[in-house]
Amino acid sequence: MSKKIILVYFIFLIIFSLSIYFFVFYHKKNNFSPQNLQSIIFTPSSWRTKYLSPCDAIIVGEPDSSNWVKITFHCPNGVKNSTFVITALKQRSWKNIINEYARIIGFSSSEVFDNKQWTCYSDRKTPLDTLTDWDKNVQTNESIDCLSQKYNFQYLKQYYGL
Amino acid sequence: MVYKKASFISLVKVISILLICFLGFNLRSYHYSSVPKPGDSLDEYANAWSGLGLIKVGIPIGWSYLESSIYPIVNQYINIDNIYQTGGANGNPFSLHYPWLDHPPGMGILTGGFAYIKGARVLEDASTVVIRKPMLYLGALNILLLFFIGYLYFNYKTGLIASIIYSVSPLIVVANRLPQSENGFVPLFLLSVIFIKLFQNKNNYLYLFFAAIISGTGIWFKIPALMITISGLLLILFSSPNSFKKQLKPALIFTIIAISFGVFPLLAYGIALNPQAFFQVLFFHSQRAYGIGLSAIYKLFTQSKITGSIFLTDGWLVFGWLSWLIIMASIKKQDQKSILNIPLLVCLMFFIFLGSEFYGWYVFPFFPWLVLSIAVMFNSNEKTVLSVLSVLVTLPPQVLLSKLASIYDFSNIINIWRLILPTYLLFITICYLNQNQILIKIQKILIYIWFALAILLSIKYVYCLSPIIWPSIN
Repeated sequence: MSKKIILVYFIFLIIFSLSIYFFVFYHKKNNFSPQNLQSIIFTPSSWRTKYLSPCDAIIVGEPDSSNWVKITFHCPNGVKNSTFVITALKQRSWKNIINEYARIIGFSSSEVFDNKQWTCYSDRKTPLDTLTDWDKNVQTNESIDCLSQKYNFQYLKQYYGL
Repeated sequence: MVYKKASFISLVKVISILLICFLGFNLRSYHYSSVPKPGDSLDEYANAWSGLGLIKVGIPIGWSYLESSIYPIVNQYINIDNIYQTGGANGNPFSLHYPWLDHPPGMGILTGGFAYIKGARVLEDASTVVIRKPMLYLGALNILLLFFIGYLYFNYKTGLIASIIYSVSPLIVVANRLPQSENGFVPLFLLSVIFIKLFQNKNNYLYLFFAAIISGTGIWFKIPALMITISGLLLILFSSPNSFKKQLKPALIFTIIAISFGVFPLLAYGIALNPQAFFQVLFFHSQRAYGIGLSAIYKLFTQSKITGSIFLTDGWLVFGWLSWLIIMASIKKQDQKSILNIPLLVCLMFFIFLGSEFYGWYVFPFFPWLVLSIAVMFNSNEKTVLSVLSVLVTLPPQVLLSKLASIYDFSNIINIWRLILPTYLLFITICYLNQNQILIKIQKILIYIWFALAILLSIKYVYCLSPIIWPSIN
């Protein structure tokens, strides 16, 4: 292999590397925006299994983080428990948590906020009736229990032995 | 007439190898998206997301354990493949980094690019159904490339046996489905070795140039792919009949081209995205804890991991390691000695030196070379090697039968088996101590019967590996 060929190779390599640099740099400049980033990360896939209600699926497993809240749906077909890590949210209100939980599972969150379908209690005692209740800031290790119309508050007290 | 017969034999040979590739592809395709279970290795998503992010928003996005204040990190639940319902992520959100620079972009562009072509537009779209698909083709390509290595360095038979084993070994089949960087650079490793051999055979520097470019491309997949360059360098220096001094020039040219072609474009990529983050991640990697432990080689010989925690015991792997040790002691020709030892030893060096944790994919680059060692055993006419082979060839069927026994009822076979194996071992001992040529001929036939059994059982076992069986394979 002659010196000339090696020289040609290095010229090619420099041009190739510079092309990569400019391509990546301008591709990022033209395509990156917080909206695009938000869209690629947060948009649920249209291909994956979606569930119709919070009674159909849960988040399985106990996360490593200590910043969690417990979400429990008392469904006609049984109790559905999930542990949700709140570091995944900027605004930690029950409304945002339920919205995010619904996005992950794939059901419509509006049914949870509809008092006719679910009655929700924070920390097993405080009913979440008004919008202000839902918007209240949530602390680590708190819990929410949502009861289907089959159950009432007496059931919840009995369920937790309160 | 003679010409026609020769061309017919050639045609049969070509068809045979193509059929083996097809078999390998078919085995890899069976339940490919659900075995291993999605979530067994979350790294496969990180790779694909980085490519998809790079294409879609101009920045690689991926999850990582690393901490940094230089670039943004967000915790986010991404319910890809329903891993939060199956428990794959154990309820943990992903710690997303952008730009994600944990690894070079090669694997990301391959899997994320494939996902993009198939219509994926958001991270959750990059499911195993899509991102594992290109790996099946690479797995089948490996079979063909391994055949060429066996053929070029030894003979057709060695290439054929190596490719059969590589196409059916359950561990290799399942491992080949994972979009891990190792699976991206292994075909380049094999291709580079082929071009080095062609360079040595034909003394044409164009082949050396291709070998170097291919070796360098490996670095775009993962930095430990430098092992391809180191192997190439040592192969050029030691596998040629020419003097060491004469080989210095091509070895130097190869190394300079390979490293420059791997490093310069990678630097350009990192600097264009975020130079501070790029160098910080490189620094983090150099500071990673050495978790592989002091018993790394022992674990390597005895454990066959697929991911971080999933094991798939495979007799072919143990057969490979033991064959390598036997062959190392018995092989005489310089180029054959080199091809059997250099790549494997370089893999071993990288495994021990760079080992952070004992993840299954760190072992993937060993597979072709272990399989080649097994195939070479079948070539040997040495009596001792034949006797060792007679014992080793029973390992894969033993492991596979015990695994299949947990799926099917083998209670009837066990009594026959306890008779067959001791009788066979007695026969081998007699052959070993006796010089009788007829007995040795029978021994050779029995070896091939065991080999055929091992192949059939491997195929059967791969077709048993369903999502239902998978959780209990450990």
